[in-house]
Amino acid sequence: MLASTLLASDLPAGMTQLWIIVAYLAALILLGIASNTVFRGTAVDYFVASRGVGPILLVLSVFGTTMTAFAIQGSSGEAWYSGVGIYGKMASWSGIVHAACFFLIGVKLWAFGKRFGYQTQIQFFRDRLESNNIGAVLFPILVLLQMPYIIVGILGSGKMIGVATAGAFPTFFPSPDNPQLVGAVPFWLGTLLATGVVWLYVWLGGARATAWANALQTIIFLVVGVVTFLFIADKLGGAETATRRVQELNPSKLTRSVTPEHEAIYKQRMAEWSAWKASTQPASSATATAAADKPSTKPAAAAPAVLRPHKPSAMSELEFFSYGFIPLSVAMFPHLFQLWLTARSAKAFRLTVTLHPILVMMIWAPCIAIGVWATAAVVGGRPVVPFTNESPGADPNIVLGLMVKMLGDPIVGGLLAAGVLAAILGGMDAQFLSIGSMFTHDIVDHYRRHDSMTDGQRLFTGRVFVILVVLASWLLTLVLQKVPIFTLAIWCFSGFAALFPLVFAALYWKRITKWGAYASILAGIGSGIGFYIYNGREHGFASRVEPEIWGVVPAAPMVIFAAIALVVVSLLTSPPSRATVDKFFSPRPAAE
Amino acid sequence: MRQLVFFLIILLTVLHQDFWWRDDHRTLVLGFLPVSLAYHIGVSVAATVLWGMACKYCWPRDVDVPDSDAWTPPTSGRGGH
Repeated sequence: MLASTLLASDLPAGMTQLWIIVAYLAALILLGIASNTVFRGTAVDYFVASRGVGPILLVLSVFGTTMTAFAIQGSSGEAWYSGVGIYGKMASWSGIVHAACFFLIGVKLWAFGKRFGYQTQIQFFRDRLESNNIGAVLFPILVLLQMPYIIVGILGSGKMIGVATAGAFPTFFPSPDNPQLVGAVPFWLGTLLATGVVWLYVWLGGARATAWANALQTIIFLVVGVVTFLFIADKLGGAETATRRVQELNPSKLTRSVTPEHEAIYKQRMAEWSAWKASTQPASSATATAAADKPSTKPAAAAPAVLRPHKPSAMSELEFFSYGFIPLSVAMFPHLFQLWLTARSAKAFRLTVTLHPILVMMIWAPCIAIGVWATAAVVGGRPVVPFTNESPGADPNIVLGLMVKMLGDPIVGGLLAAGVLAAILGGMDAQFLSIGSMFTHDIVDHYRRHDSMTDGQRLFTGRVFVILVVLASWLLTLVLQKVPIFTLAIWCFSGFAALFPLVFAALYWKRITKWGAYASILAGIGSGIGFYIYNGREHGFASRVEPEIWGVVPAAPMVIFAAIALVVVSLLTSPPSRATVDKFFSPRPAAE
Repeated sequence: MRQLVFFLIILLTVLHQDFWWRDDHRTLVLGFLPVSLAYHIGVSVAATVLWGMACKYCWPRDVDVPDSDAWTPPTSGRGGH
């Protein structure tokens, strides 16, 4: 605290945070340089680290890749918005289902990758389904599902760097349009820095650098989550006091349902707030909305504020259950497939399968608690979050930032920024690498060179494509920065989940046919597009309303339709050849 | 043991639906954790234990690929995956 006080007094606002971010990015570049010293100069080393990653590095890198900024920033915001149910809906489901996907899908795909030399998912599907064209169908789908995911990450990095560094360079970056970002590193520069650093270490060390960087990033955001939790709990008078305030003001945030008692407490607190508002701001209308939520700056309002309660909202049991379909998406993430292939042995997966659920808990639980506390947090007589879930334009994603800001500690603020950046960049590097790999192997080598490129050509092409992917993603982000594509990214998870029946059947069902696979893709992705259009017309394509079809998350019917189509059409069409079935299902000699 | 582990994992997915605590905002575990959140933290811990058991007792056959059965690049440096 002493160091932070000294730093805060010596440096302009935002400068401490900037230096922490710079130190973090420099550490990533150093990791890239270090990984380059052991780089073997081959395509296999560049794309899959010569299949030499051990268990500890694998668990950290896989976890870092599956956790996005949502795990830190979004989880707090969602808990603030809808309560503790978000943990069961997303985190504990992820713990169970991700581990299942690693165990049932990842290990098998790794084995086929090592046995037959696959470096992309499409290479596996082409062989397994005896279909060259399955690649032409899957490639655009995988890239289109992945791009919004990448762009959301770049958007997040630019915004986080901007918010964290506000005040650092008021002369260079005056930001006349947005007073909150005066002196902040501008969006174009922040995103260029973040993507540039990721490109550099991916260029230098490929998959090995990605694994090392993800391990570092995992450690950073796990530490940041816990540190932030402890500081905030202390500031609010301890964890017990913080939770008791939520019990008194917004008890529905501690449950998934809304009881008559919750409704009664809401009405009572609302009446108290209205009376307080009327007594402190006689000139303002009691019916005012967003502005009325904000703490008054008038002298009359200097007395401790009465907080406005959140309107209780329930989470249905069916919706809660259906969220178990979303984490199935990890089975078809191209960037996760890429990381799976880096494993030294099948046994290296055991630690990943085992520890993943508890690692998810370690990052989500503190962030969920912070989000729930934020609904009733008061410091210095003022609400920490000056709006509620009913306020127009309320942005849950800034709740964690506001909670950290109340600490008034630039070091914790800088650490949080680095933690969120770590979560964002941890997925982005593997995404760049996997798309570069798919372009190289599945398009250029397969269609143009008929799978006859030399190793050196594949390495060169891969690196060039990674540059193109990074550049295209950055430019697209600059163009789309005002377009709300956050919801679109959520739909992409559903799209990947809809491909789960395909990969599961390819690994475990001898009778799957290429026609069954096409039908499954058509039913799963096609129904998803239909749901997206329907939902967009109902709520608006830019809406942040959680997508819902028949009371469940869209991934649920998409997965079910895809599975039914796969089974029915496979049974109606000719079975695969004996040679293919033997190749993938006949017993093999065991390793010593 | 193999069947027991898979049964327990399926049981855990069923127990994930903790409708019995969906109304309870009063019970706090350790003085600050809402009971529903504490329960789901327990689900995460149980998942770690069960998947650890699955790795020990239900590890799939044929996935430990010996180097003799692994793909090797053609000596010409061209072709293959």
